[in-house]
Amino acid sequence: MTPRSQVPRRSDEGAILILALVFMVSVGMITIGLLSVGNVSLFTTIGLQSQRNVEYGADAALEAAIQSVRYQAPAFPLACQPCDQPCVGSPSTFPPAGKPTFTVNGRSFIVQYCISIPPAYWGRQVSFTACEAANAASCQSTGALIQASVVYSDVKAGCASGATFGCYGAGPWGPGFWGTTLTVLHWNVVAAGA
Amino acid sequence: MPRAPRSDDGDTLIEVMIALLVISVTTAALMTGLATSIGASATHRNLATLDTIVRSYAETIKADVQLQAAPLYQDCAWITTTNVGGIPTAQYNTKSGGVVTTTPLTFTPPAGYSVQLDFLHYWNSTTYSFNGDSSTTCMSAGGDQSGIQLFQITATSPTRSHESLQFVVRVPT
Amino acid sequence: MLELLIVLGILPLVIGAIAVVTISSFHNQAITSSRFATSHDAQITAAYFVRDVQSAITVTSQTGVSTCSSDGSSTQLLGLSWTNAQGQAVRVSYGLSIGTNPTFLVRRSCVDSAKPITTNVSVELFNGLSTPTVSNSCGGPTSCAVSGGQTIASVTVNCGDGTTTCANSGPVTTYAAGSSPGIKSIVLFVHEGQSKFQYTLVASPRNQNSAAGATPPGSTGPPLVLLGSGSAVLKCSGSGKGPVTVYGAAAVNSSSPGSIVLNGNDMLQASEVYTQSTAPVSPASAYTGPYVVGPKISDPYAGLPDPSTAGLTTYGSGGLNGPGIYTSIVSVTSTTTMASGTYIFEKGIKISGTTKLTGSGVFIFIGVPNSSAAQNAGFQLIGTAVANLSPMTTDPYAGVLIFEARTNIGTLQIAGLGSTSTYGGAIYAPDATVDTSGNGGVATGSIVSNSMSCGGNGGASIGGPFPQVTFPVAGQSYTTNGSNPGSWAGQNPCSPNQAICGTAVDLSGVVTTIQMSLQSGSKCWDGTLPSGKASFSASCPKYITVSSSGTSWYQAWSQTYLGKGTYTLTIQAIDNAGFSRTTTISFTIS
Repeated sequence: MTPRSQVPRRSDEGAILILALVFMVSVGMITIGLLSVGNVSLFTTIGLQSQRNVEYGADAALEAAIQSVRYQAPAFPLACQPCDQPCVGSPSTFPPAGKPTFTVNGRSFIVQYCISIPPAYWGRQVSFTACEAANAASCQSTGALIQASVVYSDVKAGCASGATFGCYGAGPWGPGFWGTTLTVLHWNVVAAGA
Repeated sequence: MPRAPRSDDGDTLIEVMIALLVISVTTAALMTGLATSIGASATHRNLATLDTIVRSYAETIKADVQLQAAPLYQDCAWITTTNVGGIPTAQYNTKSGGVVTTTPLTFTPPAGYSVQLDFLHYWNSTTYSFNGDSSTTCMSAGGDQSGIQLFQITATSPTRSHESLQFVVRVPT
Repeated sequence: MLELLIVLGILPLVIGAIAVVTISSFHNQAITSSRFATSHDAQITAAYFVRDVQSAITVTSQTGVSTCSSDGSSTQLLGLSWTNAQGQAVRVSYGLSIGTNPTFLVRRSCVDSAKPITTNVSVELFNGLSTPTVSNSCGGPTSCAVSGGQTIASVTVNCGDGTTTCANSGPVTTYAAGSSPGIKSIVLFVHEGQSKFQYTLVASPRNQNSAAGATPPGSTGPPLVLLGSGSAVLKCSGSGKGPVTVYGAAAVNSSSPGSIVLNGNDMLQASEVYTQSTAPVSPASAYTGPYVVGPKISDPYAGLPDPSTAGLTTYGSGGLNGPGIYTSIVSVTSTTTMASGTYIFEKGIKISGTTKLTGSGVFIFIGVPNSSAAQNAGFQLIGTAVANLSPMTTDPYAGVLIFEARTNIGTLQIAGLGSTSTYGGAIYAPDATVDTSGNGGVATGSIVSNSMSCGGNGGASIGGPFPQVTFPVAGQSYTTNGSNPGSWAGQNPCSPNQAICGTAVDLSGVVTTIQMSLQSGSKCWDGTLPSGKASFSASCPKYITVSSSGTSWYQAWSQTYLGKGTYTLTIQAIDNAGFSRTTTISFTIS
């Protein structure tokens, strides 16, 4: 039998280093986790800020387009026939070609719109879609940010009916009464409801 | 002949010293990381709060100036600031028939936060841009689409970080 | 020994510091994570809430109902709904989660009948708190979620009337209409339970107008609709200068240039010419009003059914009798009054000579009903004949006076060479030409046909109001003896009894005013209802506004007001566009 004093003892050398490593790893994991959460949260914040700027920019472009179209006599012939929401065919654009881009919150936007004038309807029904200028090609589909429909009355102020001679916004022959009033029928933020 | 056992003298101290060195360096780094996380959470908290503030302030102004039943909108309006109950408050000023009407755009941010209305610019339908004309040079309504006003607001947190937002109001129907 | 002393001296200091770090790390990990989460909640809520409120058309703060299904009966704080651009019904509900621990603030969205999509917008809200309850009794806010006596989340609906309770009983519109005062803004307040983080969101609905109130004033259908294609769909020829006057819009479906060919300046007067052509009028000086280019319009009477022949008497050859089916062409050569009812002229009708053809409550169908065969039966008013016809006022042919079969190309010659003929309803001939040529002139309520021709000096007026007198009957003589058969009272069908009454139809607008002028000799009734005889002391015409409802009007009257003699009654109707027409009859009191 081997005396106890001669039994080789398991060495404790380096044990504390292992403990130190264990400690380092555990606390480190916690801190890395926190840093990751913070990283993701801050990146999310940047994304949501950008989204907010885009939403209010689209809102601004749409308001400007509504106001711009209000006083314009329709261009003949109408760009789209029939005119539905969203626009089919070739909608008109705000700002029009050749004009500076509409920039708000550092982003550029366009608004596509279609005008419909039913017979004996003394006004215009216009459907608008606002999107980022970079997404103009898909403005009527995936690029749409806000869609709105507006009715403009083109009846002279004080007239009870556009049928009364001299009470309706004229065509190319002379000045008219375009946009006496306007009514926003629908305003849909496209992502809403998703 | 059996080998003499290696001496343990001084091993404990060396190990401990090395371990302590490693732990200390690591701890310092981890403390920095922890402090960064805590700081980031504070920043994130500020940014989230600022986001709610700018959205709410923009919606409040839009409702007051354009959307409510008795909207304030008037072409060529201008902005001034006054103190209401110790809180700097933007005012919407209009002039009609020589009479100036001043209406505060009341909004109360959370404690420690502040808001300001940086500017109000008018739409130029010829140049298709917003300009900083004074109200006296502002274009009149009817035909020149000046029924559009660009607002920029800024919210500031207690730590001096801030968020800005631009939005538009349109002449009501 | 020395080592031990050194170790014992150093270790407590270092280990103590390390312990502080470790404890701080574990302690702050939870707090910092929670802080990130609550801040994230605020951002997500802001992103959804603001855009949802902006799009809303109806709002409800009623807590006991579900705007989006699977909401549960009492967990809703706010319900919103609208119709998106694709015509889908969107409903969004902000409320509490069901069956989760802890409770979340959730957003549920439903599109049409699709399954609701639930988004957790605030997961830390009720962390560590007891299950909240939702109610409208909040001492300030409109609706609130309360836990442990503390309001954790609340919604305040700022109504247009200054209250916050307008949406508590159910959905109200964001615009003021009916019982809704409109919604100025909606405020969401959140107080994250454990962390005490609070935030407030304000959003304002963008939909502030009712669609019902949007239609520009007077927007009814055009009184003239020409469905044909090609050129000269509307053609005036000859040397006559009678203009075509349309009280409203003239709609010409043709896309060809020169689809309207006139023969002089200002020959066409209309509030608008609506066409597919960019240069429809030839010469351009013939029409100087506004014109609009737009999509082809559909036949407004496309759904009008051919009349049923059931129960109608069939007449063979011969003249015009009462309502029924006429299998041969009908020739009317003497003054005739058509009784109210349906007349089917399978081979057409011809009115000639000096005939005066009158009738009220009349519906005329020209051709064989429900036949797919090509037909060529028309309506001819020739010579100095005059027609004065008014339509039924009950469905299915209310306002439709003449309906020519859809396969019938027979021309409708409606103007003679004598006095103006009046057709107080629509003339509908989708496959035929309506010819208004003639020096007599013609007034019609509406023309919807394939094409139209005009000429002569009589002119044609289309649209506007058409007043008609039911009683007294033109040319009749009445006594004033009690209720004898020949008396005014005995013959009078009006309500109230003995009243003067009639109808007024307007296919291009709405009649707003009906007036009467009653003339005896050279003076007119002064408008006072006497105890004896009516006073005829006013200069003529003296228009007195009568009572009206829908297409009917009346003036209270009594046969005792009138003495023996001949009277002339003129009725004037004015519509919302300001267009007016008069009709005049004479009657005798004997």
